Order: sequence, then structure tokens, then C-alpha cells
Amino acid sequence: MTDTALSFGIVGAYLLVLAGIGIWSYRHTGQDPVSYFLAGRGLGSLVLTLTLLATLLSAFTFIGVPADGYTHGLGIFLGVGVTDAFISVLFFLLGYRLWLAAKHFQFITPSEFFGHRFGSPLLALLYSLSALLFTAPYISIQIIAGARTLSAVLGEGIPYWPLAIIVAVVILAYVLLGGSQAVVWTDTLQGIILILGMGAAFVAIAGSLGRDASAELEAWLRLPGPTGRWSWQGLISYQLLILMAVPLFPQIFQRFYMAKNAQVFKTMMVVWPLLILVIFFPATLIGVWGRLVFPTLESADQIMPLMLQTLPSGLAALVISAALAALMSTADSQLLTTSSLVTRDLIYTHFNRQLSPLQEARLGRLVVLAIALASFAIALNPPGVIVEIATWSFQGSAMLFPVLVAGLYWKRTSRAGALAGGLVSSALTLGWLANLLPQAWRGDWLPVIPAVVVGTVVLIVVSLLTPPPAERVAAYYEGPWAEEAQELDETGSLTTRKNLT
Amino acid sequence: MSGLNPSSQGEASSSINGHFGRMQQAWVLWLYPLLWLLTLVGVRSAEPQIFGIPAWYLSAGLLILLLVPLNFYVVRVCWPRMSND
Repeated sequence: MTDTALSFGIVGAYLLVLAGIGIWSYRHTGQDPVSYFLAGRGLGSLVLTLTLLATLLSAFTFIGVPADGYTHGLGIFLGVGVTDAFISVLFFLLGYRLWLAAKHFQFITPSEFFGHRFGSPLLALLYSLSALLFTAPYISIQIIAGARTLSAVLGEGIPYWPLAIIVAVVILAYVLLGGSQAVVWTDTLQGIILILGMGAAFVAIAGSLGRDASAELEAWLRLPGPTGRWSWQGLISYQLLILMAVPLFPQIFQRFYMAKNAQVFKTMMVVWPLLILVIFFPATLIGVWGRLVFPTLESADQIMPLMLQTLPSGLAALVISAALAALMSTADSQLLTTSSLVTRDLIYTHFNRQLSPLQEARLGRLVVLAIALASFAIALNPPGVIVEIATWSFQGSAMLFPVLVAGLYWKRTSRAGALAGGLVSSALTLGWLANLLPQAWRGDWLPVIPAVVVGTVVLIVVSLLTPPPAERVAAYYEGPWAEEAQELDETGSLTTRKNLT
Repeated sequence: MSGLNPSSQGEASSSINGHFGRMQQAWVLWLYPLLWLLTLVGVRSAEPQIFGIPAWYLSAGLLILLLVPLNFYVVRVCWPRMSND
């Protein structure tokens, strides 16, 4: 009873702090869209790094990755952990350029980039709809995992649905009240708790289990793992999926717009691999070592909460708070970003409704509420295990990767080419995911991999056959930042470049 | 790496020239796939182990750590010079 009271106390205090940040942010943040959705484009290195980390790492990381390690072995560390670390170079190659464009053209949502770069509202709509379709179930996963995690600590006697309500209500409280300002500050707190919690769990569990693992777990400690899931094709398929999906997650894409200056991207790029390492390295091992304690689990998703029950109650509550931090920080960002997609892209752009900034922020809050209710409805009857749903959701993000790269790096990309490539890639991905296309056509690859390859070929061929939007190419490649760009001259000193036409 | 941006064609191969800025010493980007390939070394065997953890897993972790100095080099040397930085 004392242990349960202690756990209640720690987790309850944590949830109250989150709600408090929401109320504080409500009083100290502006109500215009840039303040509500982008934290005023003023995030520094520490806050943006931690909010990006907390947003990326979700129930998938804290519960799904150990569960995958439990079932399929250590391969998930290469499939997701290593790839997430290498994504740091995309902060430079993609994120920095998106930030430059967003700052100049005043983008708020990710789809505004696609619509503006190619002069195609249809392409913007394609991104918005795919983001809504594939993000909503992912939000529900966070609620499901939150309720199950709370249940593991607070006792099996408490029904599932009241815990799901608690998780959903706390997230809603600070998203509705404080918008992105509240989300980034709670993310900062959650990012710190996440790192400390995972570290504490790893040290405690490794101390008691690590050295016993070698003999019994031989198949789990090498590739392709006991189930054969991590074959070369399976591994590369998953790595490509993560590499393409992460920058296109709406909640990650929009965070690129929030940076105060270029220095933020530089700092983030340097420290990011280290942060990813301290989360994924222990998470996978804990799942594999869990087989020694719980060899015959009915559902692998139970392994992390069960492993936490082997820890002293105060420590377990801290780690549970970290798990909640991971999933809530993702859910809040997903809610906020998807609401901006609806208010800015669907209502403002496609229905041509002129809203005042205050009306837009209010509408944003209503949409957050509606999406949260829809996600909660899905969470009441979970459609599958976490990694399966996440993999499905990630493919929806990855399918527009060639359009993003072409928009930032290939001047010759035409509107028709981008649209055709995006549509073909999306149609093939959806066709395979919905079983409308023969699965044999994609071999053993995840559906989005061949879909992106075909989409890229279509994008290139159609672009070469049609003219690029000259006005937009000039705007992007000869913009004010280009006129002010500087380069190193032959002596190594900086000189200002003018008129780079 | 000039293929990343058509505007760089015909210019010095050591840089990516785009109007988003000019990247210096673009050849450094090839070190990323090289590091990635190294993370795959030894993954088919659970031996040798250190503290119950296979060597390939530890070395993949160390290679992730190597990304820190590599990224630092990219940030300091390769990053496009922009007047508004």
C-alpha cells in the first residue's frame, strides 16, 4: 500500500506539473498562429533539441522497442536506433533548408511548403490528408500505451478506460491551454526525465541480469534474430523507412520551422547521436534480457512495464514518468500539428475562409479536441500491437520523401512531376497497405520502399517532360538569403556574395 | 556530391553550390554511409561478448558516438556561410 501511494505521489505530481505548465503558458503566450503553432519561431538549441527528442521518441521507443527486442532480438537497435542517430545529418541536409524557406515565406504548416514550392494546392492537400490519415491512429497508440503503463504501476485492479481518460485529459489540458509554447516546455521537462528514467532502468536491470544473458539468448543476440525478421532485406527496409519517414512526420517537420537561428541546427546535429544512443542502447537490451525473467509473455508489449515492476517502487515510478513523458510528448505534438493542418490547410486554403489570428487559434483548439476524441475512440478498442501500428503509420509519412528532396535540391522538378511522383508513391503505398495490390509485386520489402522507388522514377521522367515553375525556382534559389549568402574566398576569409543569379 | 544540386554542375567538386548556401568539402558526406556500413560488421554472430553484450552491438554504439565528432566537423567546416547566421 505504501509503495502504491509513493508511486501515485510521484506520477501524480508529475502530471500536475505538466498541467501547471499549460496554465502558465496560456498566460504568457501570444494567441496568434505563429505563437500558438510555432512558439513564435524563437526556440533555442536546448529547448528545440529536447522537444525534438521527446517528440520523436514515443510509446514506440519506450514500449515498442523493448517488445520488439523481446520477440525478434537486438536487430531493432540497428533498424531504428542507429538510423535515428544518422538522421542527425538530415537536420543539415533537409531541416536547415526547410527552416530557411519557412522563415522567408512565413510557412506555419508542413504542407504549405509543398503547396508553395510547386505552386500546387493539390500537393499540399495530399500531404495534409495523408498526415491526418496516418497520424490519428498513431496518437491513439500513445493513449493506449499510457493507460497500460499506468496500470502496470498503479495495480491491475484499476480498469483500462479511466486511465486512458487521465492520459488524454492531461495532454489535452496543456495543448489546449498553452499551444506549442506549453508543448515545447513540457517536452523539455519530459526529454530530461526520459533520459534519466531510461538510464536508471538500464543500470538497475543490467546489474542483476546482464551477465547471465549469453547462453540462453544466443539467437536474440545476433541477426537475423530468432524469428528471422532481421534479414538483410528486413533490416535495410526498416532503416530506409525510418530515414524517409522521420523528417516527414508532421510534428517533426513543423519543429524545423521553430528554430530561432541556424546555430540551433548546428548544436542539435552534434548532440543528437549521443541522445539517441542513451535511449535506444538500453531500451533494446532491456527487452531482450526480459526473456530471462518473463520467458512466456502473451503480449510482448507488456515486457517494459513488467520489467519496471522488478525495480524498487520509487525508481519504478520515476521510470514510469519517463515512459509517460515519451508518449505524451509525442501525442501533444501530433495533436497540435494535425490541428494546424486542418485549420490552415483545409479550412483556410481550400475553403477560402478568412479568419482572424484569434479565430484561427480558437479553431485550432476545437480541432485539437475533435482529433483527441477520435484518437480516444480508437484507443478504447486497440487495433493491434504498437510496433505494427507504428510501422503502418511511418509508411504514410515516408511516401512523399522524394517530393521533399526534389523540392529542396532539384530545380528541374516541375509541378506535374512532383504531383505525379507523390500520387504514384502514395497510391502504391496505400494499395499495398490496404491489400488492394498483389503483395507479391513488392517482394519482401515494406510497401513504401518499392512505392517510393517507382514514385521517384515517375517524378524524374514527368519533370523532364514538363517545364519547371520558373517563378518558384527563382524565388527559392535566388531569394534574399541567396543575395546575402557568403562564401569563403581563396584566402579563406569570408566575403559577401551578391546577386547570385 | 554535385548531383545533389544541379546548380553545382561544372564547378569545383569539393562543394555543393546552391542558393540555400554553399557547402564546403562535400566529400565529407561520404563518411556517413561508410560509418553506417561499419555498424553491420559482425552482426551475424553473438560472440564475442562483453558483460553479456555482443561486440557488434557495442561497436555499433561506438560508431554512433563517432557521429558526434563527424557532425562537429561538418558544422564547423562544411556548413554554408550565411550572413544571417
